[in-house]
Amino acid sequence: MTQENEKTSDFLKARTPFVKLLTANHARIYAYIISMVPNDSDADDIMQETAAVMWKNFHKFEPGTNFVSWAVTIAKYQILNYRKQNKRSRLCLSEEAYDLLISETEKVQEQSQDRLQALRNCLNKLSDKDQQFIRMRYYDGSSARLVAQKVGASIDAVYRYTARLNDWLLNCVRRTLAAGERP
Amino acid sequence: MNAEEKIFYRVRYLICKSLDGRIEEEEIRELERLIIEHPPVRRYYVEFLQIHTHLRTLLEHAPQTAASTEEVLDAQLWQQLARHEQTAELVPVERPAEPAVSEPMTALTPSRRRVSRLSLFGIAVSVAAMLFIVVYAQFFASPAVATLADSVNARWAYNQTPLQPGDRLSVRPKDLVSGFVSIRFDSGAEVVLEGPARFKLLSENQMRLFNGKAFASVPNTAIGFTIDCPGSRVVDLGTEFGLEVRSGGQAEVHVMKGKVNLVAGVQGTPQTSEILETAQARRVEPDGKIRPAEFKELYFARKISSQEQSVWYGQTYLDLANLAAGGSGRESVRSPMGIDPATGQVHSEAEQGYIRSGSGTYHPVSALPVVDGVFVPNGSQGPVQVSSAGHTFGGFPGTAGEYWADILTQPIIYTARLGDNQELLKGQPMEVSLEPSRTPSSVLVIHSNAGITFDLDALRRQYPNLEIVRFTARCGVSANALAQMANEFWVLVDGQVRFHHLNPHQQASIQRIDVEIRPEERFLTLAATDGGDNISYDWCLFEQPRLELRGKY
Repeated sequence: MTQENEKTSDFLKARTPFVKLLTANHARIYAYIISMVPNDSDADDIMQETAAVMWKNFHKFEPGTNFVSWAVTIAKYQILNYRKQNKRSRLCLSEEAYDLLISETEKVQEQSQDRLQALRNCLNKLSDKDQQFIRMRYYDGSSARLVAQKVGASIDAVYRYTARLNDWLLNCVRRTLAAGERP
Repeated sequence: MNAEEKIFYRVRYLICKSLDGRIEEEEIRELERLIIEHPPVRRYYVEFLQIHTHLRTLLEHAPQTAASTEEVLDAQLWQQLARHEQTAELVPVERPAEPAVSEPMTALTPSRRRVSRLSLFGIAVSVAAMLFIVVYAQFFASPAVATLADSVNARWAYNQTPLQPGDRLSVRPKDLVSGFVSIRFDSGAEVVLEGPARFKLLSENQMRLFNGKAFASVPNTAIGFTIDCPGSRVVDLGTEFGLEVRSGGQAEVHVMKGKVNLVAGVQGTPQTSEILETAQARRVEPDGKIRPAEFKELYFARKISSQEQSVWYGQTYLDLANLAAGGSGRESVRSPMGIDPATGQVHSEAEQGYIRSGSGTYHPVSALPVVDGVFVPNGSQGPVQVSSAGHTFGGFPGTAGEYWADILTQPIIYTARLGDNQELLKGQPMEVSLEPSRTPSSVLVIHSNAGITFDLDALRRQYPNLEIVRFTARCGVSANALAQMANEFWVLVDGQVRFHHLNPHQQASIQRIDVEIRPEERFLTLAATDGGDNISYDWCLFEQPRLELRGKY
């Protein structure tokens, strides 16, 4: 092991409870955040800040209590901060809308592993052209603008195309789960 | 497309636009309204977001193009994070900048290797690579690895939030402009830093010292505690050590207790290492060479207390008996030497056991820098000189100007016996002490009539980082004196009396002395006089005569 890895694993050992909890629950926490702030880079930032605050305050967390609730409380505070910053206050749903989404978010998250697996299968069912487009759109660092430039279309067209493909995938996943097929 | 389908069509378009960061205010309000007014939209919205998030997880790294996920995370991640570590601030991994236009589609190759934060988690979850969660936490979430235990007069750099005792400390660099802080690492190691010092905590058991002074106390549970400095590294093997890094990059390590492993070398050259033990010191030059260095025991602030506003450099007192014997003041060593108060001569074997006379003049003691001079106090001829600077004291009573012994630093007094011709001869040696059968660890025996003056400036020169704050001792007559005679004890500072006690005939008692000393005061005089009767059995002792020291701040 390199020096770095030695340090890190020592470090890790001391923080196992937090690491375990965060690993196990990060996706759920993120789902709440993105439902209120449906924006990739902002949701990522808020997730990061939330993780940092959770880390700093982990000594206040009571073991055995609901980690995700605790995290979401912290996340909402971060979102509040985010809203206060002028430019960004628009790109955020209201509390009212968010509250209506909570139970849906929970239900969908519960099925997350199955849905992910179903998605893998559904992806393979796309045509080559569609698969290529999806990979291009989702490849790290890509954006609608970039894809638009690559394919020579308008950004709007890229949104519509992405939306169509995702809609298809969404319905494919629903069908897969409804059919009871263990994906 | 029916009405419902139109709604979903609109919703998914808006979501995509929003996720990409280009949604307009009125559009997000529209999306919100649709969520509120149409319940089926809510499930769709949430599922759509999950599809999107999963696609990011699955596709962001194009895993089939990497040799393995570990490889992806290993090389580039460490590099990137190392780069961020070098900058003073912890900066999250940037969103990759958009590359130049018109890249051919085939350019989507594994050479694009930037890491998004989400995919870190995605991969971590799928690979159960806890390592990367830790990395995420360590480099993105700035975890705390230590607590600020205490601080005394600490001033931090302007761009630094002032830290309070109890604060948890993160891995960001810290700049202590002046004062002292004590840090307890989660591993149990404790470090006292003396400003100016710039340092960075690396983990629960490691830190980096860019410049300044640090003193580490490392319990067994934290063996391996390491301090890096430019060009070297000190690994603790169960010990206490001090480390100073000067602005030129030179470093010095002094081992107070135990052992350390000193590893020296600049990047690119082979490293040398050496194990150092107690009371050893080394200097590491900027070129990485290890050189011998003079061990400085009292050079590092080791403990601080905000409650007492004090800083302890490893020594709280200097023993005056030991200093009078020519020692360092730090140990208790029985020495047979003595100083003749009538001449200022230092005898390697103390002279005593017969009556001698002193002229009353002041005699400098050149052999001992810390002892300014000695004298036989006798007030019958006016004020007595008590320092080489000319201080005099007029409060001494008239005495016979006689004395029995050199000023002694070990507790042995010879009694007298009568010779054949009724003359007083040296008798038996007696162990003396204030309390019966309790030999003091240090004592100045000043049989009347004698006085000794110490030059505190000589000590201040030896310990520039320390301040002499008080003189303490217990004084009285030896418990086994064959008769209880009258005698008087004196403590003067720069010729001014600060303590005086008279033991009347048969009413001897032990007294506690506690005299404050100010930085501008130079001469400390201890003296014993015969109390008006003769000098017989005036076995006057100053037990544990100590100068208490504090760190200067």
